[in-house]
Amino acid sequence: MSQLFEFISKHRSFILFVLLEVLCFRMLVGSSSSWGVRYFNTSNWYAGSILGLANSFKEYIGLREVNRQLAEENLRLNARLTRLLEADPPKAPAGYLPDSAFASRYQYTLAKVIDVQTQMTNNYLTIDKGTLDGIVPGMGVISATGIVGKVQYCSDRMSVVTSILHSRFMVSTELPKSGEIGTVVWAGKNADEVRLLDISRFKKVEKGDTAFTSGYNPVFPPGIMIGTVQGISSPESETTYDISLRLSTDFHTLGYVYVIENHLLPDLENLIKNSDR
Amino acid sequence: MSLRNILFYVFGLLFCMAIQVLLLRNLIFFNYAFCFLYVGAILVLPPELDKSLYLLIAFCCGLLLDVFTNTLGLHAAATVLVAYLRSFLLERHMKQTGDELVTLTLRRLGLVQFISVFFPLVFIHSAALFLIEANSFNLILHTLIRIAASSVYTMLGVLLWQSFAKD
Repeated sequence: MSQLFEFISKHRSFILFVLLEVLCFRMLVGSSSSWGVRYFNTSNWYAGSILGLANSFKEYIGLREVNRQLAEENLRLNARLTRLLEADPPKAPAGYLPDSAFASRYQYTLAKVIDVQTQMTNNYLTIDKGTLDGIVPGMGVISATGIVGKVQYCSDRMSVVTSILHSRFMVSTELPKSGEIGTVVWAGKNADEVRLLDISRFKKVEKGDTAFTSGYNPVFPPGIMIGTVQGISSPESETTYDISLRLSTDFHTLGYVYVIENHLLPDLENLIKNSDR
Repeated sequence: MSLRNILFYVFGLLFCMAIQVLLLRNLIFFNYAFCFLYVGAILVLPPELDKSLYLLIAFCCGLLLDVFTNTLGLHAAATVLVAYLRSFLLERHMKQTGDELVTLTLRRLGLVQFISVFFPLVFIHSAALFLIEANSFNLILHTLIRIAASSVYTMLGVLLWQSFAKD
């Protein structure tokens, strides 16, 4: 007996080693049914919260990639939405069937904003797509949250965009709630605010009404958000309101924009030119 | 062993485990090279430690890591194995060079001796880990590349960590 104890005490580390290894392999093999699998895995609250912490850090690092993916997804969704809306306009009378070329006249291209100005009287922004990507001057530019501007000048790989914050930029705008169509221009003061003109004083306009691009735009598809009504003033001598809109696009945090190409724009311009003559 | 020394080793171990769980788990190169820094932290624990206690420490650390990787028993088995084998390599080292090792740091041993003592252990750890995990010889080439790449990567990680750790 004492010999046995002596043996154990002499080789205790080896015995412990064997025992531990056996335990490990038991856990490995029987891990589907053992008690260990219920507690010793990442669904354990402590392990889970530590890994969650590590993952949130990773998420932060990966935001750039997520942003890009979301922008691309938006691009696809936008293109589809416009096509579907144009193919079956909600306000059209029954029986109106648009030509398929007309319905799919808008095409979107994703671009990244390289530089934004907001301080000048005439503001521009620069995007990272140019003629090589099929961008030509005159195309409309929108962001995920609303209207941005119009392409002004293109190099091979970059383009300069006249933003809506430009003294000569005008967009035909609709207030769907009151059914009125007016024109948006920039007041020139701050980057969050534009003026909406030509809305008749005899229509009802309320604070908080939303303004969208109208169907009379050659450049933008109808229904792109511009902003919400922030303030209304009605000078006695005029027949129209002077409305200030809060822009839905935040120019300070602009990241990705979508350039809109209207395939039928050259046709349209041709038509107008010929009919003038 | 003084309290200061004990704290030093405990913090070193905790630090390596944290790095292992939070960072190195995601730092896998080409799906082949894994860095098991925690093994280094376990291997440099002082040799004067009681052997049984040392095995238990290794077992606990391996098991703790297993919890985070959902591989219950895998890391524990590999870590206990190298913890057991360490004393033989230290004995061999003593026979060859004739110096009794009290602390196992890079500065104390020098680069060549450090690698000659620890690389076999790191290699055995990787080999055990990946062979147990593969559980067959079907993808043997794939497993062998993983073992080789991981043991080199782990050794580099341990050397880097050791060169920052003070004596």
